[in-house]
Amino acid sequence: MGQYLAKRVLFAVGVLFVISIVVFTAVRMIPGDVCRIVLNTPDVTEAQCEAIRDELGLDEPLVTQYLSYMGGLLTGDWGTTLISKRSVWDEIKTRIPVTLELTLLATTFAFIIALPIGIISAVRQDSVIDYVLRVLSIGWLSIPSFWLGTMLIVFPAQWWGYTPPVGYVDLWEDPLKNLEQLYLPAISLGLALSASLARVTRSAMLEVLRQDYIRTSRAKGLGERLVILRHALRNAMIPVITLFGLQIGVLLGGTVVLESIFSLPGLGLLTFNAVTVKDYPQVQGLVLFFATVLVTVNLLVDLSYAWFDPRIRYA
Amino acid sequence: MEHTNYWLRRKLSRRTALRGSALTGIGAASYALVGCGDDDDDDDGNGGDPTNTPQGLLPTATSAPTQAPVEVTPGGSFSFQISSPPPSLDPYTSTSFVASYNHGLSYSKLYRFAAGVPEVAPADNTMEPDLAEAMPEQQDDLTFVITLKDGLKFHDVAPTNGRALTSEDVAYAFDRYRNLETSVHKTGLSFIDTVDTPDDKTVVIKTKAPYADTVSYLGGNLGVWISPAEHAETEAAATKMVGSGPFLNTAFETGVQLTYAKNPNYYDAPYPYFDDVTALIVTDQAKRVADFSSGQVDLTWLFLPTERDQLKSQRPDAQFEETQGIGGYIYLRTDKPPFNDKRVRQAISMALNRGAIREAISKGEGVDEQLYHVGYPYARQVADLPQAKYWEHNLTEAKAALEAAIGAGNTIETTWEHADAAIYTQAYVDTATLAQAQLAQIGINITDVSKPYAQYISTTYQGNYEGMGHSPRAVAYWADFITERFTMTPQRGRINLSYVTDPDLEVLMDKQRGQFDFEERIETIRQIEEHVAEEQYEIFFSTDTRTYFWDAPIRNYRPTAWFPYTHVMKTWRDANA
Amino acid sequence: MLWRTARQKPLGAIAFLVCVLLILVAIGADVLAPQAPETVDPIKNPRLQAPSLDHPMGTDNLFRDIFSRIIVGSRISLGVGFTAVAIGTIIGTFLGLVSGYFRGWIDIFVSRLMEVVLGFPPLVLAIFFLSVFLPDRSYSLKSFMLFSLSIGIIIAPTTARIVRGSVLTIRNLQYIEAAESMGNTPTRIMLRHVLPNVVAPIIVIASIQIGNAILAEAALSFLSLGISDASRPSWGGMLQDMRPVWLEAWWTAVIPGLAISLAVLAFNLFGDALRDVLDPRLRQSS
Repeated sequence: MGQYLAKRVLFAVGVLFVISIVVFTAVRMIPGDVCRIVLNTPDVTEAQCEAIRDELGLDEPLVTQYLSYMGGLLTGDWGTTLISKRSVWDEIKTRIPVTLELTLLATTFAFIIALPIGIISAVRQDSVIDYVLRVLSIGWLSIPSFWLGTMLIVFPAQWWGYTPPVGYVDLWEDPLKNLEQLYLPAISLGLALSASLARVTRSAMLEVLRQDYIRTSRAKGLGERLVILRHALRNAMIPVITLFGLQIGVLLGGTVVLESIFSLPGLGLLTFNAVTVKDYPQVQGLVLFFATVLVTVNLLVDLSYAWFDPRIRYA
Repeated sequence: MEHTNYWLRRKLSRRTALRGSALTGIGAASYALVGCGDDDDDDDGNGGDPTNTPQGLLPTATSAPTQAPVEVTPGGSFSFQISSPPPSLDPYTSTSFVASYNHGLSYSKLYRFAAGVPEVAPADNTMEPDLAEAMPEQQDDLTFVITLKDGLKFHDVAPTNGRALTSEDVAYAFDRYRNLETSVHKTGLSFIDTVDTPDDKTVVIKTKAPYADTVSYLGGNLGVWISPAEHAETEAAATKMVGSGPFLNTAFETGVQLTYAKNPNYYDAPYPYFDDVTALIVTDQAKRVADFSSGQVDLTWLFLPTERDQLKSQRPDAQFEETQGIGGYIYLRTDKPPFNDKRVRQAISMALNRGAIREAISKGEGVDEQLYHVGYPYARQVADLPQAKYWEHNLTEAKAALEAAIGAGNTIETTWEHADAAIYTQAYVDTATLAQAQLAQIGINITDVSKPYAQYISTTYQGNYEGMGHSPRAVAYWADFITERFTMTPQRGRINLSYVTDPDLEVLMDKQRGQFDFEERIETIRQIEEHVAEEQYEIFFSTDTRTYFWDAPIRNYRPTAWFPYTHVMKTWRDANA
Repeated sequence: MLWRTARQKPLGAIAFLVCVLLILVAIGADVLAPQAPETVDPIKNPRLQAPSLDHPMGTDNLFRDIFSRIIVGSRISLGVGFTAVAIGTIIGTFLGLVSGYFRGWIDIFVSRLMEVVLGFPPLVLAIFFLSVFLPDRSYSLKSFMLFSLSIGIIIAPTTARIVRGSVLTIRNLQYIEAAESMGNTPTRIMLRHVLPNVVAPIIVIASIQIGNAILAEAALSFLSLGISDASRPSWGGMLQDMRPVWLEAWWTAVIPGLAISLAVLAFNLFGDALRDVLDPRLRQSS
């Protein structure tokens, strides 16, 4: 196990290393003259450009630039943003709680919706209610999130003059206001996830309900509700959690759209703004941060399989 | 003074005169326009006879009914929305309209716009003294002597700690604007020769050549904010403002808001009135509308008629005013075929159906065909130009002109570059879509190229394009605006996107620049207008209307066509309303 | 056999018919659309007309017939969907096949490669890819392919994972060993013996991913990264372009939204049914 663990961690580090090279090189391939982006004005002279390229160290060879960038990363210096000269890491750090909370709320919402639907569908397989719930949840899966998000902003304002409070506040500063700001985007973000979770819950439940031990429990005279909740659901959760692990990236990507619609100062909005103004150092830092999070999550998911089921030995 | 400083003269149009008399009748707090003080704005402006009343060019309807005079109640808080985070707050090394909105709250300039209060029309470019005590004393055509106000102080926060602002600080700022390698205002201020400080209270600005727009530049929104050395030279300059303006910049939470608190030591008492001001960053247009609908924001702006009507129905209590909106223009490569032939450019202008574009984008509202000085009292309607026919939608003439230039049966295949909707809004992209469809009718087939904003600004808008391009424009506040677009000589040139080389035009542009007598200058400007109208170096769309909305109890506020929001200091909230 | 399947899976059958219909619409768009999509005609198409007999889906704010644009819009929306999935499936199948068949260091390499791709949130990867390789957005075959590729990359790892899993189970079966012992080259074995046995799961996963690709096109259009233009609209692009008038004219929000939802729903339901029929074991992995 120890050897396996070491190997996996080593692989993950290698993967991050490759990602960092890919991102670093790709960012430098973005066409357009950096100095004109920095100065953002029509009257630019070559001398001004020279000064800016020099300041950014863009005249150095690529390898030197990469090494000094990685050296910085390891010592906690992620560089500064292109125009406002803020610390890239500080920008990311202050945005993490917002995105974390949004994705957690969306996940909670998704599970609250998905589990009952999945269970009922499975227990009443091929009944009318099964069909209705399945079509409904596949229907949710087919709604573009920006469409739903916009509807949730526009129509309450039109009909009832209601919008969530403006000016983001932290959770610990004013929990109620914070939650009121987050619940609509969380619903928009979680709906599609709930649909895929519901579908997997249903099929996993069906699989489990056919197993011998469920029949045994029933034969022992345990109540149906107990059988389903205590025995079947617990075993059906493994594929559900697997799917959820795979969907974390999708959730994070979805925050780009929803945070910009709802003006939430999270990582998604930061990504959107950084891409819009081509703030390379910020884009680079964000993509690397996302990659680190996802590679770590994937690693943990893999390791937990190995932990729970020693038979599994992935290459 | 009469002959040298035309900006001091307030032109009294018929309507301004009417308003003036009304004001004396019902008290200074009221500014309802006589004759259109009701809710119905649609028949204002263009409905009348705009050529006879210069102010008629500006749709200036307001929903505010007449109010009884009331005492000013200071205090309270005020919030407005901005559409994107300012990339940098350093006035020396960056310029952007969202930054300008914020600069005006914390920084000062020698002069400022008088606009922003009920008595002054939104596009009136009159300057009033800010740091200066009075308008400059002009010893000769080149020398401007400016005396500073008494008791000028920087903000009482680190690093300035309330120290006095002297002429040295002004000289420092101008030096930095003109000489710092990464300054973005070098060309703009290149008309200045020297800035001297005979004593603490006096600044003497000498220009290289007679330049009639000097004061407009000293008070305009392109740079010249006085940011002190001890702040400007730190890394914090990009993310924080420490100046001498009416409000202290207390925080810049990226992605959320900029916050301000009253500057208790402000030199221009009794301003400011508000204790706190918040600039909320709201990227999404639908959300901006919704947030004002639900009454959570005090001021919001730049809405097209569609959104205006939504807001009017959702917030019938709110005050609003339409302003001269944003227009756009096509620039093209006049240095090579096919656009080096003016007949092609004239054909393009005649093939455009500007009325249909207005219909689609601003419910048919807006100022009709305009050339450069949109919104000014002296702005000339295209109808009054000898070249008016180029603005008329006339496919037959357009085809004939095009055929004469490129031969019958030939077509032009070209590209049209523009930014995407993220910053300039969908209306700008829609204009391009409609115009391209219209031009296809005379055989100009266009490949649409949409670029992300940053990409557009750093390539197309630098003149790095082929074929055609398209940019929005705001209302210029200096008459010389026209010059900067067409000159190939580096004296004053900023952007000559159409690659114009025209010695005749150059002579005229040089001439008006040095004409301090306004009537004489206008004569030259009219010649330039006719020349440019004939050549169609840039092809102008019509200008839409953009509406500002503000909360019912807000007093002494009026929109301006210029960015700086210094005048929010004169605004207050009526506690009894 | 077909009839029996349709009876058993009525929903899947209906979804299949809708999919076929949508594809036919996209193919015959030029003939079916009453107007060219870029037709701007203030007289024929007054601004923002509600759906009527003349304009079954109303008109937009730029004097265009929405029905015509929806019909032609199916080309980019479905076209991107199919192309992206084709690219993703080809890459994914190749990688899955190779890593499942050879195992060993090739498998390790391919798995790490997939981890690199999975290390990015899918939408962020597409945004990043597009801002590097497609900074100017005008429609061309190249931009269409690059745009599809940006979505295809997101799709590939899922396909690769499923194909690899299936190949691993087949790999140890006797007939593969037999083929090997007869001296067949690995390429031949993979193409002749392995691939035909993993076709079913590939088809199933592909049909489900078409829906995701259509949604990705819509999301990228929202972020102003789409490739549609006046004469080549897409449903996502239409939604985004008409967003300022959604409140003024409900159909501008509802109709392109419904088109997207209908297509995604149809491909998902069809894929679901197909999975139940072809490969019940795949139920868990989607």
